[in-house]
Amino acid sequence: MSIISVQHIKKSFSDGVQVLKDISFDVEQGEILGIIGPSGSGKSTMLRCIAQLENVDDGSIYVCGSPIVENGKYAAKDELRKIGLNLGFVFQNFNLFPHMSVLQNITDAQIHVLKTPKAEALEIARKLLADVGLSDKENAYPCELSGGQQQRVSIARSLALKPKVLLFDEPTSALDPELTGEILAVIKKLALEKMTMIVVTHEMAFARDISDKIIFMADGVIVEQGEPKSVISNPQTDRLKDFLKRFNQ
Amino acid sequence: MTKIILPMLSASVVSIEVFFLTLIFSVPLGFPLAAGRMSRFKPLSYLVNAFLLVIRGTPLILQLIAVYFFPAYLFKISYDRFVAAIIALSVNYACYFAEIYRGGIQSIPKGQYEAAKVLGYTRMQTFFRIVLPQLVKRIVPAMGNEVITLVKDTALVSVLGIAELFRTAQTTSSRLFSTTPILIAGVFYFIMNWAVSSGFVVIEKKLDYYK
Repeated sequence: MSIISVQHIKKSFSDGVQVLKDISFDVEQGEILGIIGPSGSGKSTMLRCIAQLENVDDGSIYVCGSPIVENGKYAAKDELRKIGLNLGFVFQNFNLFPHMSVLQNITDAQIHVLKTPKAEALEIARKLLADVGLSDKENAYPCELSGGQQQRVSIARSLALKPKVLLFDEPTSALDPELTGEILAVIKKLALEKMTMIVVTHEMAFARDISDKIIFMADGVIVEQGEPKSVISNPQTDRLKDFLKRFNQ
Repeated sequence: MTKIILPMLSASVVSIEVFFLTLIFSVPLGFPLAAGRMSRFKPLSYLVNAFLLVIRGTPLILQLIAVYFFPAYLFKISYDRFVAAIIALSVNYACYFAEIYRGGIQSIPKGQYEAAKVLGYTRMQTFFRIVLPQLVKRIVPAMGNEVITLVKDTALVSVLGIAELFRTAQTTSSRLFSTTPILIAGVFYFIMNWAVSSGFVVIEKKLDYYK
């Protein structure tokens, strides 16, 4: 059973633009899926639909076997919240809570959503901070951190809830090229630990290095999918060839 | 001098009572008003918006008179003037606070709500743990303005015959044929507002631990 199964989802925005035309794919446990494509292709929207930040108009999404939406019909609110806890989401602009310290950002949801006792939450938070290399920043506030540091905290915050799948929405797009490396290193580490991940990214080399499977989306459809070495190194369609040309300057 | 100052001191206590009671009622009342104003249910938001426009668009002194005298003339109900004053002031200030809250809430980035959602927070938790703390910091300057105005607006309840500082200063002035009591009242108001603005400076400093 795939850990995530997306079947024929369709979505249009209120102005009539069809952003997702008919998307289907599966993600297996321990797999890393890279999603690449031009802006406006619908890749972020699709990821956000899986995370329940947007609603689809039709189709089905299954997470760990349970349906978020089945043929356009959404499950009940409590069900949705429960299923949602299996997913972690890392935003392009981090979205850390500015009024909480780094440590509080990571422990707050553990304590108030998972009802983890404070001592245990702190232990987990500290371990994750060490994993992302920010142990010395535990009492700092997000406004005192660089973009790369904030994103690493944001990853730690998602991991603290022990999700089964981590979704990344262009995690490095808001960062300077120099800071991008920090994040990619963290994601690589998670890959080694066999974390199931879906990464929407513009970082072509990264997508090729780390993904088990790549999906290329354009204009709301999946144009090509497959192993990185075939999709990126050996594109079949003109659309993909055009897209990749820009990166092979 | 003591004959002037002593009654004014005890009248100040009445002004201060009016001030605190109004705050106690209007600060919470602003929230449901803001919620109604921001409601997606159009009839409700139009109704609340109309109410906010009327209350903020008409003189507070008229509202004070209306709240006390309309029930008396229309329904022959007469009740305590002090209660009427607090009701009128609280409703009036709640409307101003509602707009301040609305501005603050709308200035909180959508990403905060999205982060809370993916982390599994309930709507209540999102409001109390994520939105409200950030809202407080954003609205402190505007609230400071309103609270300072409130200190001065307590003088308006004199129109209902309540013996607060301004009225007492007025009557003492005419009794003694001197403007001194009015000047002293000015000093009293200034001192009260100086305490209030200092209070707000302290609050702003305490909230300055993050940007």
